[in-house]
Amino acid sequence: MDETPLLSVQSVSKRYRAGNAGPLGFGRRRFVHALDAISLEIAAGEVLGLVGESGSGKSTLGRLIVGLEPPSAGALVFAEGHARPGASSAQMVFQNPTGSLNPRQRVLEIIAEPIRVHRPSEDAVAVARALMERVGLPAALAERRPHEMSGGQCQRVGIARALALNPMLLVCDEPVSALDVSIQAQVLNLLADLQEDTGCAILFISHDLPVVERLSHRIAIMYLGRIVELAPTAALFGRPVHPYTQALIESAPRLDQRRRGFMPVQGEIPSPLTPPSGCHFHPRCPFAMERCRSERPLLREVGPGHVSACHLDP
Amino acid sequence: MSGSAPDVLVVENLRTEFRGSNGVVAAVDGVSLSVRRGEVLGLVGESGSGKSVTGFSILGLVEPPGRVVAGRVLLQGQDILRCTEAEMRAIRGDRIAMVFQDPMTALHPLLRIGAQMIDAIQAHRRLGHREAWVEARDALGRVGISAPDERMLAFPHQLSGGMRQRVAIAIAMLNHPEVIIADEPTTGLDVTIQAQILAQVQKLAAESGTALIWITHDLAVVSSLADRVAVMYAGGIVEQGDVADVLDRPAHPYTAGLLASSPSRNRAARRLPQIPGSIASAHAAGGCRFQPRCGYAVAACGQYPDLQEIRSGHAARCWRIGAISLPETMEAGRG
Repeated sequence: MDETPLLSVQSVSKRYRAGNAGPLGFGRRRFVHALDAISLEIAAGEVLGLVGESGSGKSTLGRLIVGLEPPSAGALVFAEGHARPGASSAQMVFQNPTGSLNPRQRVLEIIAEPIRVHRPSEDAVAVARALMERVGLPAALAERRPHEMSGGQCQRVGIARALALNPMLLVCDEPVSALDVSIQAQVLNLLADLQEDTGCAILFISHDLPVVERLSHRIAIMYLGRIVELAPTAALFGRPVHPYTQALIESAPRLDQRRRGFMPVQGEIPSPLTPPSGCHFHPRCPFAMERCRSERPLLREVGPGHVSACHLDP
Repeated sequence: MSGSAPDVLVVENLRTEFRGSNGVVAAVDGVSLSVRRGEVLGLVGESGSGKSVTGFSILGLVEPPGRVVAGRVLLQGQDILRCTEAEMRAIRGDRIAMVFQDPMTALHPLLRIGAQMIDAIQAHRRLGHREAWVEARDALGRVGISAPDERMLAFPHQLSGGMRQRVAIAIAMLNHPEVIIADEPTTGLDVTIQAQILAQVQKLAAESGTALIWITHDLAVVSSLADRVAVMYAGGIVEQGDVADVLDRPAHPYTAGLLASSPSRNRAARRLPQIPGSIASAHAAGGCRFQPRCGYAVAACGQYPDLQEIRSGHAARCWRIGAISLPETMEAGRG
């Protein structure tokens, strides 16, 4: 393998039309800036966690990477050097395990369909059966329809379908947040197994830091369409630099903390229609200075492989 | 809070059944619990455990084909299961209030926030419009809503999800209830917003002396918020006690398994210890309902165990108490 990253996201922006301003809708056009000049790289075989709250643009980035939507600006480049024969570049596992499966298809057809379409020379049914076994689905479920299965089983089907074309990158958008805790652990362990066995890279999108921490080599934190911090997992939790990252880590309820006095970060997440000027986080930031209100902080290096977008001295 | 405060709400042997095409399922089967003044009780379980139905049963909100068939719900000693619907309407929203997971189920989409809050006050108290308005506005301020005067005029759709849930909590607190039952109120919210609401709720419960039953699937939330916890599985309470006892020294294999598989534990390990199988069809199991998924199961587990006290206030429904250890293994079995 060469050293070039599997995927490089180069200054990608995405904006959506959101009607017109003014009470009667005759004002200027308005846009939601879902992604604002995002750059990052994913190495082959790497698990990159992408964490943010609602409106951060994390799901939009996932959708752009698998090609469900085109970017408004910038480029997404998959390196040629990593291509495997017959492999697709990126596939997606969706959040809603039942809703992302065709309710009228049976399990085996759902998994076999991408193979039939993209590699018609192969025995799609045999490959699908092997995939079912690989994701821990009993063969007896092959003729079931999605509504006849549990959420955990449906999510395994979704994972098997995504793996069918042997992707180099698996984009998992909140793959376990709809599942119960005991089932969540099963699916997370399955993803860890698959990642190690197939060597595919994973972009793991979630709002839940403890879930992401377990699997990821590196973690990117997003806020209102921008990456605010990106670091190797241990560094991010060991020395979070950006005040928003610190707030996220502080806010997550922990099993080892009893009746603690929460010190929550104040304020609501602003609307992406009218993001704050300068640093998007400044209205909620306990350390905000004059400069933060006017000037957008750029990502700068604060440690090995550790970047943060904050005007404060690290 | 104080361990000696009197019990406000006592539930005894509650049983709620649902009649379906495949016979009768007891969604809640012999649940007993109690909550004291100013105390937060965490009611924990996964989907299908019966935790929400327990909440609905206490409030008399179970709808057909469901039916509360046995048990008592004592509010300050009065069995409210025997109340007429008119009497229940007087109790709900006044002495017991509920907060739902989706605040839009509790808010009228076409009425301004203020109007709904004033309605909620005047339904239970003789109060002039002006006084009710002031009370409602102050309640919004207490749950951390900025510019409450303006929000009184807003419609629910103009507020964010976190704001709406704050409004729902403010409405629940309006008439100073003795008990609030909150069903997964922060589950759909972002973590920074959840932290704000948990902080506020903790403060309000402590100040007002309201007893709180907090229904959730998230043990970490219980750990941060609650004084005591009851863990439900397939309709029954399998373990209850002080949060410190249950979370540090779980006595039931299900509690131990839930704790072990929680992502905020064993943070360095790439794999989580997992509970095999799923809760499906557990209601039909004879004997202990957790037995099919339990690594400790023995022949005795074919009999349904009673809750057995381990130490004061800490009890578990298991034949093998003492044999259970919290799995700490970093690399649990694959797949």
